[in-house]
Amino acid sequence: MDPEAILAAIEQQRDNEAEPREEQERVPYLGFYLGTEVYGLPLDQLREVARVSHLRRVPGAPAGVAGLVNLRGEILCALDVREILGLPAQASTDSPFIVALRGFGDPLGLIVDSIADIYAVLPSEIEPPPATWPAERAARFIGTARVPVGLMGLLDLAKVTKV
Amino acid sequence: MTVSIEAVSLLVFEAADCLMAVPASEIAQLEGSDPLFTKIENRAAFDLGAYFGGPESDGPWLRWGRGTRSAWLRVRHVVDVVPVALSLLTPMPAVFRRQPRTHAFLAAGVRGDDVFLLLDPARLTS
Repeated sequence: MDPEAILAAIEQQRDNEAEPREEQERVPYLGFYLGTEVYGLPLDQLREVARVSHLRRVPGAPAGVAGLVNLRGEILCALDVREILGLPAQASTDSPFIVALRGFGDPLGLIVDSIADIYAVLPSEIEPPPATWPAERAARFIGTARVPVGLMGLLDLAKVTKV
Repeated sequence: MTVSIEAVSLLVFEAADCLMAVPASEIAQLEGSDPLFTKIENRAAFDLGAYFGGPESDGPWLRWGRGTRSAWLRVRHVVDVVPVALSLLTPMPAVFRRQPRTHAFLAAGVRGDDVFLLLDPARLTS
């Protein structure tokens, strides 16, 4: 075989390996809005996104729990992410979304204002939360990533769901 | 011999801006919202509005009883009595079972689009 052809074949193989590997390393995140800020959670921890037609508040519930939601007959415990992250209260969105999570003992969901997009993030693109964030807030994130709509805070769901 | 119960009749009422329910078979009596009745002393009585941190209820009193235990519960108003399949009731998530007040809710169920809370009056604490 011609040495040039061997070299080309090696380079081709190298290219074939390199491209998919980078794609495989990207982690898809669902981006969602709370007010004007965008936050993200790993897609593999997401079960469903639905509009909230009826949120039933539970009297005596701890801060951070928005209430219970009937999702086609299944009752989800809805968490108030805005409250959990210490964001200022805002006039309630007419019809917010609930992001149903997977992998938790009880059926859980997060109440969010709206959905942004799905963003594929390389682990190398994840940076620590800004130093200007209060420590208590920063502890609820695995980091941040730059996406087209701004700086996306990547939630640490294990910590966010501990209310 | 074991008897399986597949459905239970629930008395649904509103209190503390919430839909709640108790087994209808445990409600022995309903009393009006007469202030004189409200002032009767020496009885276990819970205004469910105030109990859960909201404004006091202004509706009827329900006399709840189970075995030797009994209590009066004040609610805003009685909504309905409905049969509910036990399979449609969901145990309350852990976050509610840990709280001193919401510990009184055993389960949640669905009524139309809305959610109601199954209250166990035996868990109310004064």
